[in-house]
Amino acid sequence: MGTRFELLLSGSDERALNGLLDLLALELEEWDRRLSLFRSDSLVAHINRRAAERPVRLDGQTFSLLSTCLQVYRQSRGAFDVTVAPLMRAFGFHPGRKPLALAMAALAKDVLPHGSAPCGSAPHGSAPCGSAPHGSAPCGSDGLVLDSKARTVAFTRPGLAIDLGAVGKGFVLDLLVEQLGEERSLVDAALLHGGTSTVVAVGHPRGREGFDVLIRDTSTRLCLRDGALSVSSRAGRTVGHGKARRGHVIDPLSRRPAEGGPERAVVTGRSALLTDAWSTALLAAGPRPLRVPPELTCITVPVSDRSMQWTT
Amino acid sequence: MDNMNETTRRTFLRQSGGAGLLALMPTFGLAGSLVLDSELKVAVIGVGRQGRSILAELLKIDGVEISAICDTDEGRLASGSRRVADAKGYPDHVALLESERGLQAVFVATPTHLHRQIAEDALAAGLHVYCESPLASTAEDCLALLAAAGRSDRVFQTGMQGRSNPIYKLAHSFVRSGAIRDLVSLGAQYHKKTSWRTPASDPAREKALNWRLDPEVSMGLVGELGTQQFDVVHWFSGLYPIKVAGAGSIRLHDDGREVKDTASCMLTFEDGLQMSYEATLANSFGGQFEQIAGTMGTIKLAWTAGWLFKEADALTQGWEVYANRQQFHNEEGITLIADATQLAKQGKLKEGVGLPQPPLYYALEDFVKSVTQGAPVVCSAEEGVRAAAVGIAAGRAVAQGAEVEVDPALLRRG
Repeated sequence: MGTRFELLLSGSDERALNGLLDLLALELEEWDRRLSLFRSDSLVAHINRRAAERPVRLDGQTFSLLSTCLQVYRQSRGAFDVTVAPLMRAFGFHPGRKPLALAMAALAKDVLPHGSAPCGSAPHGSAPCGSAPHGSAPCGSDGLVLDSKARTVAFTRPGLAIDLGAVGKGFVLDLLVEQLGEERSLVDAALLHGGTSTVVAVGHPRGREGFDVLIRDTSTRLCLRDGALSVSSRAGRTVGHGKARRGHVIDPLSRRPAEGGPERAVVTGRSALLTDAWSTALLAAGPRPLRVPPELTCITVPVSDRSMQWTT
Repeated sequence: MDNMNETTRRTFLRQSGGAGLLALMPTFGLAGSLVLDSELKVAVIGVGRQGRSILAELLKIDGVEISAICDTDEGRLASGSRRVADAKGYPDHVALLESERGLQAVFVATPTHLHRQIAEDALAAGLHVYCESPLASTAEDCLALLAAAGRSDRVFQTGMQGRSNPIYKLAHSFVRSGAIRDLVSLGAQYHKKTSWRTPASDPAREKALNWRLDPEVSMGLVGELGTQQFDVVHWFSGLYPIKVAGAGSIRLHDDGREVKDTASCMLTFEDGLQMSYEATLANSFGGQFEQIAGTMGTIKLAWTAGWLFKEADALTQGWEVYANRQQFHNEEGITLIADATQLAKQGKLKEGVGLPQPPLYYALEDFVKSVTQGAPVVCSAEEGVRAAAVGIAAGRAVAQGAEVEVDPALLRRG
């Protein structure tokens, strides 16, 4: 996942808490190795190498993760898509990658012909986009086939590649909460945070209703208790110059960095995986309205306004 | 087994010289994972962190059906079930062996001191056995396992990952071809900042889960962690240490434990060659690696990567001009890339840095090939016992702060 995690546990038995922290750290390391797009020996690299040739068997947890991703892809009408890795790479958002000339030209001219996604060299194991026939760049989660009986994933198009960077943090944080639950009596409360974008609260600090979470650059404070909060923002890594400067969230439908929507999207709910996915979807969709599942609460921050818009 | 009895290591290397390295760069089939012609029904006994990793890697081999899992700890069994929901869960291995029909092989990933009984029972039930390293923590258990594996006509593989790792196999071929010439020294370390402690609200459960911190059954850091690395050195050198001097202390985790969180030892081989080994749970710098120094170069192996550092007077080979290199302060390492010849042909040499699968996968794949295709066993019970013998001696040396002889009965060869 290539990001920083911070785990804060509160309780009375320091030895037990230290042990728990180590367990959570080991779990994090394991899933980082499995979900990384940038390691040749990760599970994601294995899937990207093989799934176009034959169905790849998955463990229950990874299958469940991909099922949720596909569900959000459908519910968001394509705004959330785990197959945008070639586009991310083309626009230079992957570590150590510069934007490709074609991508930059498209941004400068403000045009990018549909179906001609500029793609860089592909992630581990997948064919480069350029090898796909013209007009059929291999992006789009409609190309993922999940078989719930055999617990397999297959790609319908060669060159397709999944990148779980947008949801890996949320997914792993949910697993950590599950692990804490097994020894819940040892922990009074916990705040688990990943990648400056997703935070999960377990219980509440003594004498308070929950953990206060401040949304940066706004005066909004949220009280988080036994729930998750994710933020997606156009700030952070950007590409382009002047008016053509764009943030790192890609709109899978326009195949370019998202524009025209909120500057920031905040989502709260029980599952960090879902809040992570939907905060990305809300930003990627730009001005297109999305119907967010009722169990989530969304806040969007418009581009030129620091005031908040709430949707429940 | 890597038998160097008839020709001493030194003589062998001199005779082989350093020529022809390019021709000796092996091509390993790394691109895909194994697909079996017919189904292999297996069970995994012990589904803690290592057992769950085994489950995840086995899923990559098409044709392997994980029909059952087993763990005496309810929480761990539930974690295993979340990974492979179709596998039937058992709270003890006897029930599993009695109830599972058509089972062909088991993977044993329980605490070390429980390996013996489970492996003996599985072999007696006519099953092939992959047993995690270290094989055992006492000489008695080592000898019992040797006897059980010897009585059985089934495959018994010790889970030594180095012997199956494509990068290590490449490095091994380099060493055997004389690339570093005569051995000068050996070294290895395991550094990881972690407590080794698993908390549990139930005291009995906590004791069981923290077996590695129980001096009654644990071999400590160098025994439990070092055995994998000792085996790499045995395999590369064809030599085994005869005595170990050790010391240890608690540098960080001063939580009432007796097992040292930091330890070092010096292993002495028959011909005077020495190996230094360091392990700590108080610092992560450098991670886990083995280093084999020769008169013409040094090989450093770090499980998912490896490098060859040449001495200035070492012979130059043509292929080195095109090799991928990495800078380490003042040293330049030639990256060891498995499948390099194929990748170079395709102009993808740089993409070959690293492995397509975790090291564990290759050890499991080798076992499955031995069971289904009759491939030679990459690490026998005998080799596993030799590494365990060194681990037992090293563990004792650290605990006592003394020099301890490696049990010659366990090192017996042939």
